[in-house]
Amino acid sequence: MAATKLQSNWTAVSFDSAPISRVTQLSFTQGGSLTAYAADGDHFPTVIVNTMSRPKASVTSGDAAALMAIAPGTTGTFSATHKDAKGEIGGDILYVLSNAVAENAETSGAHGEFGTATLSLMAYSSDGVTNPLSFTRA
Amino acid sequence: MESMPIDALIVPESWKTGGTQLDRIDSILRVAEPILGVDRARGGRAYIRRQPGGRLFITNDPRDTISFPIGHPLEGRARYAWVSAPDGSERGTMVEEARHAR
Repeated sequence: MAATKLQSNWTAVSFDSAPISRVTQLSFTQGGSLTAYAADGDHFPTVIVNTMSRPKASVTSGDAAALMAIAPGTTGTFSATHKDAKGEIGGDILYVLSNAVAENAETSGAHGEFGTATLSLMAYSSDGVTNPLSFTRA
Repeated sequence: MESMPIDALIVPESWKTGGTQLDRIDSILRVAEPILGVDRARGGRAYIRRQPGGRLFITNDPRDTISFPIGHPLEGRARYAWVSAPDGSERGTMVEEARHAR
């Protein structure tokens, strides 16, 4: 069957050599931000430029121990595969966030609900010009 | 004369076509992977990075960078020798120092 061209559920999630399973939520963001310029009699920006982007990722898992074991400041490669909605071959998208730095891990759980933990990551560029977030067809 | 291997590509983002994210990724990979010599049967992949100015930087290793990293003796210098192709892409061959640094 052909790929559905829809994505559903994540697999092969890892931070360096540590696999992360029981993933219920995951996001990658390009981290774009804008700087607006105005001067003299301007009441509105006359120039808006994307001067800086800060790619980030966040993952939520039922395996709280795995995420809480990652200390803030830990650096590694974070990767995850967004699966084809029907599991068809050739429909998965692989994301890789190089130079990802663990920002924070937090865990929570409501009464009568499964506990989860969320790890947030921010990535730096080794040379200052190459985007650390890459993607491909898995 | 033996042609130089192509280790990196920079293509205009406008080359992307298709209505879904997978279509757009595929439209770039269809062009990039044969040029980069990617062998998917052996686990190879071309990795796409969105760069400022509407460009896509593509190599077969997600750790690759355009320039030597900060702190490297060659910091800031290009890791590839770039040649402009008639189709509007740029084709890069990794410089010798970058091959040794891998």
